[in-house]
Amino acid sequence: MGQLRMALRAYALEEGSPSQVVGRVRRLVRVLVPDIVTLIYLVFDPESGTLRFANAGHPPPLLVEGNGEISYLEGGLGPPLGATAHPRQDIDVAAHLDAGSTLLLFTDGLVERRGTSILDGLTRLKTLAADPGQDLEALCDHLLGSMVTEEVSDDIALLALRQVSLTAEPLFLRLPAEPQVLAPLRQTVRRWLREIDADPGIVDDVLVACGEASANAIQHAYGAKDGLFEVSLVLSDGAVEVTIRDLGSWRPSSGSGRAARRGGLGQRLMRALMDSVDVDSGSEGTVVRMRRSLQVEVDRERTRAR
Amino acid sequence: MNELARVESEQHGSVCLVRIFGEIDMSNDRDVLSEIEVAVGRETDRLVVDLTHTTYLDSAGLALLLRLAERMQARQQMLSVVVPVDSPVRRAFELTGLANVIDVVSRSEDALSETRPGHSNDQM
Repeated sequence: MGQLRMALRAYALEEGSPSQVVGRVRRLVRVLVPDIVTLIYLVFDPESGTLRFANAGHPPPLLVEGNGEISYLEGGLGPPLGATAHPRQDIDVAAHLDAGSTLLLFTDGLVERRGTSILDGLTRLKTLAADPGQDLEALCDHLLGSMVTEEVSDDIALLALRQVSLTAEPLFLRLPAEPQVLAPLRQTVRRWLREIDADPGIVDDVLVACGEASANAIQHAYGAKDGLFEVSLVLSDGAVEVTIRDLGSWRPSSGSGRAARRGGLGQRLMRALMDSVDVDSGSEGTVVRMRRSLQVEVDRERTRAR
Repeated sequence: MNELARVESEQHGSVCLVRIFGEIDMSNDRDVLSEIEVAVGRETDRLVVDLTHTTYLDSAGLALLLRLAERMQARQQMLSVVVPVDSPVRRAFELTGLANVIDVVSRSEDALSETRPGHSNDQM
């Protein structure tokens, strides 16, 4: 199984579509593993809300839409891996997750019960998940508690995914202080800024300022285990207020190193791109507060002044 | 692929053209710099770095270019950077004054056209 997971990761990086990934794993299983294995492989794009997947014998995902409609995504079901000597082509299925919708993925241990059919379990799950509520942790606890009432021989895994609406709500993120989070952070901030209809030029500016402050937070946390930093964006009086907080201690940049050079340029950029920047550094961390008006007339004045 | 940035290179005689697609931040700046340096051969007199398809660049990317410029100068090679006027990346260059230190042009045709004066040497 471990080998299969490694192979799946490798194929996931290489292949374009879920059906191609599943197809390659399917061919590998025939060589590697004597068992039957089920696999559902999904790719979700939070920006568009598009979900694509390929399913090799696994229970179908359960989709609870924002308007309350609930259904299993049963399309494209192929045989489990290792099951057939001449597998036919795996196919891709597309679905859309509207804002507020919840997707549930699970292993058959959740819905299979000795003496009852899996269809009963699926129906039961659908009834229980009908009103998912705000809190996904509580939802998972509720579903596990209600569905699993006796000893089970299978491991049970349950995953709940919710497509969040970003419209005008303050954005609050708590992230590991690692360079790899910068790209997904940008993607989320970009989405949020687009939802509030910010001018594209202003979006770019805020992204860079936010990126600079975040990069500093990540740099401050270097060496700290499990370092986290927080990013929040709030729309207030026609302006975006960005707050970035880290818990590291300020390390003065050493000489002409990479960090120092980047740091100097970074400070300049932040202050030039935002209307105001306040940096509050203490032994317990640094808080950076920045503000940028969304009004394009103000933006033109800034450009003229330069 | 899941890479944040992709580097493509072409050789035009003694001019090496490198195009950067995607985003550069502190997670991949070192990698991108390495890829560029691998592309620049010994026969190269001039390197043109085309940022037309670079969709995000902050101080990490700017520091990369400064580093590159220093190394090129030490080897007596010229560096030009292509940044279109309406590119999101243009602001970063203008606001940090980097356009005064590195030769920045708006179109790759301008950079690839015949011998330019020793621009970067004068300005640095």
